[in-house]
Amino acid sequence: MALLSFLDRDRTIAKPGFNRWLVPPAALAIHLSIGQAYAFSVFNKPLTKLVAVSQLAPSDTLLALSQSKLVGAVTAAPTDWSLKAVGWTFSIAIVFLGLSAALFGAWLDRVGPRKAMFASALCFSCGFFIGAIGIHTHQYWLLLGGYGVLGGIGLGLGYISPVSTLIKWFPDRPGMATGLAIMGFGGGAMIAAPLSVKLMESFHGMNHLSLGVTETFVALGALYFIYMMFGVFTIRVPAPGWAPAGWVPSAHPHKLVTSRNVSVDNAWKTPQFWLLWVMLTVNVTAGIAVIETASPMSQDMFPTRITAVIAGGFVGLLSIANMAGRFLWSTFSDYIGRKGTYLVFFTLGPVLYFLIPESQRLQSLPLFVLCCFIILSMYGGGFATIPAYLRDLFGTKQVGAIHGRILTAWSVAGVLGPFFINYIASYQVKHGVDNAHKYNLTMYVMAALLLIGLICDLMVRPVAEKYADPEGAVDGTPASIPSTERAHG
Amino acid sequence: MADDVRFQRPVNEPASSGTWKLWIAWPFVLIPLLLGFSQTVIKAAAMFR
Repeated sequence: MALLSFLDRDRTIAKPGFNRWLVPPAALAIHLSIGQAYAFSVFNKPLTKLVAVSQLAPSDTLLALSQSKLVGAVTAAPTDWSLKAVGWTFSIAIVFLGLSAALFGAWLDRVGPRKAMFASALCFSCGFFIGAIGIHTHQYWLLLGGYGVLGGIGLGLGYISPVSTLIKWFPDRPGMATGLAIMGFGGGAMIAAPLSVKLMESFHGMNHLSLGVTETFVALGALYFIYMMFGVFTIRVPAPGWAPAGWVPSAHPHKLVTSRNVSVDNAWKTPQFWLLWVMLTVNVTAGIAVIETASPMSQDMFPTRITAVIAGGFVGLLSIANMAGRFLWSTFSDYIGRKGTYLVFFTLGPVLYFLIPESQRLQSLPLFVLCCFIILSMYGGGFATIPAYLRDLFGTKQVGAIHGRILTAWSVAGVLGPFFINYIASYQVKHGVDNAHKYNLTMYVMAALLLIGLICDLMVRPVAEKYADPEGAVDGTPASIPSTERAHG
Repeated sequence: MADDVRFQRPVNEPASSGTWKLWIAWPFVLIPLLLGFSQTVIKAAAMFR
C-alpha cells in the first residue's frame, strides 16, 4: 500500500549527518509504552468488582466514595471475575510477548524497525480497545484475547524492534545502547501505575456507577498509540557499512566476539544459544521469586516494622532497582564483557539469596532491602545485557530475530516461575513452617538455580565457524566498513 | 573475565546537524520517566520514615 510506504525499510535509512542519539529516545518511546504491562496489577481489584458496582442503586451512599475506596468497600458479586482469572490476563500477555518475539523476529529483521514498531503500536492499542469492550460487556474472553493475546503480540514486537537497530547504531557501546531502551520497559510501569489510577479516579468522578476501567483502557490505548508514533517516525537505520566517526574496531577482537554473522536458523542449533536460554530462564525465575513475594515477604519477615503501606513503597523501590539495573549493568558489560557481567550475576546472586533469610534472623531491615535491591537490579540487568551477548556471539545481521527467539525463556519463566515458587511456599506451610521462615527454602532453591546459570555461563565458548554465514564479516568490523562511510556520529 | 570486551570510546564525534531535535526528543521521553520515578521515590520513602 502506497499510503504506508513511509514504513518501508528503505525509507528509514538515515541520511548523512543524522544524529544517532535520536535513536535511543525513539526506542524509549516504544519501551516506556509497552512497559505499562508491568503495571497491569492496578486493574486487578477494580476488575473483580465490576458487576457488584454496576448493581448498586444510584442513590447508594457508597457511590460518593473515591474509586479506590469504593473498590475496597464493595463485595464482589458472584458473577464477578476472580482475581486469579484477571491475573491470567497478564500471564497470557507475557506468553504472547515471547511467542511473537520468537515468531516475528526474522520478519522484523527483513522489514526494518519502523514497520515493526507501527505493528506493535497497532496491536498494543487495539489490545486496549478490545479489552475495553470486554470489560464494558463483561466478556472475559474479549479481555483475554484483546489485552492478553493481541496486546501481548504488541509487547513482543515492540520489545525487540528497536534493539537490533540500536546495536547497529552503537557498535562501540552496544550494552549501553540496548540498556537505555530496555530500561524503558522497566520504567514504563512507573508512569503507567499512577497515570492509570488517576484516570480511573477521574472517570469514576464523571460517572459514579462506573469504576472507570473501561474508559481508562480506551484512554490508554489512544495515548500509547500517539506516544509510540513518536518512536515510529523518529527511528532510522544506519546506511550499510556505517560506523561512528573516529571509531576504530579493535584489530584484535576478543575471542567471544565474532567477526561473522550467524543466521537465526543456525543460531538455534548452537549450544551457545541454549546456554544463554538457560541463563536467561534462571535469572528471570530467580528475579520473579523476589518480585512475586516482595510485599508479603517483607511484612512476614519484619512484622513490627513493615506495614502494607510501607510494603507498597518497598515494591516501588524494587521497580527502581529493576529499571536502574537495566541501564547500569548493561553499560558495565561494555567494560567487563557480557560473560563477566553474567558471572557477577551468578556468583553474587546466590550469596544475596542466602543473605535474605539471614537478614530476617538478624532482624536487619537495611540488609534485607539491600539484598533485594541488588537482586532486582540483576534481574533487569540480565534482560538488558542479553542482546549485546547475542550480538557478540552471533553478529548483528539477525540479532533481532535471535533475540526474539531467546525471549521464549521469559515466557517459560514467567509462567512456570510463579507456579514453582507458590508450590515451594505452600509445601513449607504444609510442613508447619511459620510465616517468617516460609520463604527461606525458596531463596535457597533460587540460589541453587543461579549456580546452574553460572555453569552455563562458564561453558560459553565462541561459536564454531561452521555456523557462520558464508558472505563475510559483520557490520562494524574492518572488513565491512568502507572508509568513506565512517563520517557521521 | 574480560575476554569479550569490545569497548572503545569514539574520539571526537562531530556535532551532527539536527542537534535541536535532541532537545525535543530527549525531554519527550525523560519528563514522563522522571515524573513516574519521583512518584515511586515518594512512595518508597515511606520505608525509611
